[in-house]
Amino acid sequence: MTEHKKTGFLKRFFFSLDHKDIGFQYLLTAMFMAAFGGFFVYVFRYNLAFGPDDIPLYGNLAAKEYNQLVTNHGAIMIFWVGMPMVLAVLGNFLIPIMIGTDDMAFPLLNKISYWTFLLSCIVLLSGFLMPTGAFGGGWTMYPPLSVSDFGYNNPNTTFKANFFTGNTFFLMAVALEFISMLMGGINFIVTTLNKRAKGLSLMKLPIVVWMINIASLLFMFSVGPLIAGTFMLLMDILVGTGFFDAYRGGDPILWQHLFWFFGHPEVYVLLLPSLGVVGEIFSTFSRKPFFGYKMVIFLVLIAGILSLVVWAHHQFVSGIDPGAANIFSLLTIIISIPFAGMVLAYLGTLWRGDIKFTVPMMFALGMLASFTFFGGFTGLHLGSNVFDIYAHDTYFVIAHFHYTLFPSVILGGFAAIYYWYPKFSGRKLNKTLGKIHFWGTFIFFNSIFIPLFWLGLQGQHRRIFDYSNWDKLLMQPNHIMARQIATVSLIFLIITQFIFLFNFFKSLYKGKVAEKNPWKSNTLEWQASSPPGHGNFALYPAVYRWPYDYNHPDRDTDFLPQNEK
Amino acid sequence: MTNKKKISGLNIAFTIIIITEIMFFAGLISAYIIASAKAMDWPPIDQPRLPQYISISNVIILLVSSLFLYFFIKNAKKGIKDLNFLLITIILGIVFLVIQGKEWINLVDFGIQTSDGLYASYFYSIIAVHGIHVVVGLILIITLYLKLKKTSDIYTKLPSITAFGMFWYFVTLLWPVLYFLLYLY
Repeated sequence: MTEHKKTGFLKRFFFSLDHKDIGFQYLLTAMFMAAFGGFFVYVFRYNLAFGPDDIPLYGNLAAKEYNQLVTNHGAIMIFWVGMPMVLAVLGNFLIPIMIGTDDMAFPLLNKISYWTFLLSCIVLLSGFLMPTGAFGGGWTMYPPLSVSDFGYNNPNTTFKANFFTGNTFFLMAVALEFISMLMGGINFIVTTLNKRAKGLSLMKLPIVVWMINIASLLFMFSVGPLIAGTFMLLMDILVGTGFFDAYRGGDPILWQHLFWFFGHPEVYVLLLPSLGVVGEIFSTFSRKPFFGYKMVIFLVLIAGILSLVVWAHHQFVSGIDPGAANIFSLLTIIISIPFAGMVLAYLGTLWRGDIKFTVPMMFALGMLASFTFFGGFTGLHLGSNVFDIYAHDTYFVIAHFHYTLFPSVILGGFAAIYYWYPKFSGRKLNKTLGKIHFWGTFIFFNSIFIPLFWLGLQGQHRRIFDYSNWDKLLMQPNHIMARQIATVSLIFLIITQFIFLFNFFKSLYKGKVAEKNPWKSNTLEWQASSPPGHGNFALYPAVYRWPYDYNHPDRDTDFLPQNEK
Repeated sequence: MTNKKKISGLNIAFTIIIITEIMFFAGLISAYIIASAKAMDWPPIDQPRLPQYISISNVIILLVSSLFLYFFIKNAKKGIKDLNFLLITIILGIVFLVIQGKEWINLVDFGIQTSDGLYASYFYSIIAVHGIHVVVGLILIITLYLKLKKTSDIYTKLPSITAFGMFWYFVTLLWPVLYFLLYLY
């Protein structure tokens, strides 16, 4: 509605209420946190391959520090990179502009959500400055590891001493992060329900908007019990209650139930938005209508509901009732049916399409391929408690969940960045650097985790700091070699990301100027100018058709935007 | 789609918040029920009994406050601004907090400590969390009251009236459930 005004840097990046600016703030913060997560994994992987002494850029690594780095790597990558990247960045940037409106339903709430998120980052990182050091009890925060030194167990500590610990700060950071994402999610759902353009019914929404909203709903449904659990754990640490203290009748496994009730849907919260991105990209670059649009939406809803009742498959080795374990196994394996249907629909979209191998398309193909072939299939095996009991504490599980989360957060996230970059910056990324970045990321990612699958099946336990202390524990030359291949690949993977950073920031100022609709795509955001001004559209668009009318028989052009009659 | 009468954004937002809250309390309550089912004696033999009969007055107070809020919202939908109903709701909410706070102090004097064990841990935590919700609900309703005092046009405020009212209904209707579980069960 309004003309685009040039605003100052400070105003744009700190006080702007515009949804695109807030999305960009989330993106930069997530990249900043990813640098920490990436550095931590470099340090502890280097230790696993070459020993703890003289790690370049770090120095000597102690066993306690190893635990802290692993814990914070996991938490940062899931809560402070994954959640903002796929939910907050995509939701903020895409939802208003894809549904043809000017901004979120509650712009101020959106800003508060970002500030809360930034505060949670600061609280988490300041855990490293505490006298006892950062939290090192695993990102899942299982008691008794997360409470053992505190509260009732150590009557000499005061409230103040319990408060200024890595454990307390970690828990508070997680709680703040959830509050931030709750505010964001409420905004997404209300915006989608109430602010759609004229003629844009729910069944004409782009698939990625559907996915972000279903992911937000899933988050809302599942996060309550974990907030309750976090509250109880904080009480255990600070006030000395005994919820998770077996000595006083409490139950440590209760925490695992509360945590994984959230933890499993969380995987889908991270996966669904990026599946949505892949869907958009497949349809655009195959120049074909999206195959099975309604089927995919209903399958996602079914998978979302099922994901709320499979949590105990993370606890097969925690000593839960074997009868219950069988039921959870069955439900877990059933959940692969909707996902198989979705992959079928995606392949149907590609089938006999006029496929264009652009950089976003390559990332999207890489995402779906690695997620399905390794993440999904090994998940099917681990879902069966018979196999899981043997594999659970090995590197097989590590490789499995990295094959689900890395494609959905990193590959899907890069696909989204490369696809929508011309829109949000008004400039194009360098194509050659993009392709180098894709092949580097894809190859090195696989060469990290395929050796870990093998090591896991060989029986390499996943929570050991120094294998050389146990001669019998996988210290044959080929085991050491496999660990070293994984670590060297990781270092190359990190180096590859600098190509992306260079490309990203250079193109922001020096890239080729992008036209309005560089990919010839149909959705509404491509009808706004690049970059869209404050208010997004000069005239609010009216919508006449669904977003995937590629190669419509009545038209000469191979695309047909949603707002054309 | 846009031509149809829409539910206000604030109402959708509060519906989602209440769903999240229900899941939050479901987590706490199910943990409590399982803990009590596993224990040999519940409540533990050495713990003092809770004052069941004084506390039932609190259930009634909250339910009555909700009733007055219901009258207020019903009138507001017709365009009648009857702020006295809202004032009674606020006063009853404050009375609830005072009685509950006094009871807490009594219980601490009796010698129930959070570190005594599971029973006291759950009791204090659940009551405290509910108390925080009552405080938040009261803040919402008091701000609503102050805003309504200034305006004469009640229709523009209708979304926030129904949304905040929904939250207060949730808080008050939750209390009988918690009372049953913590005091009687």
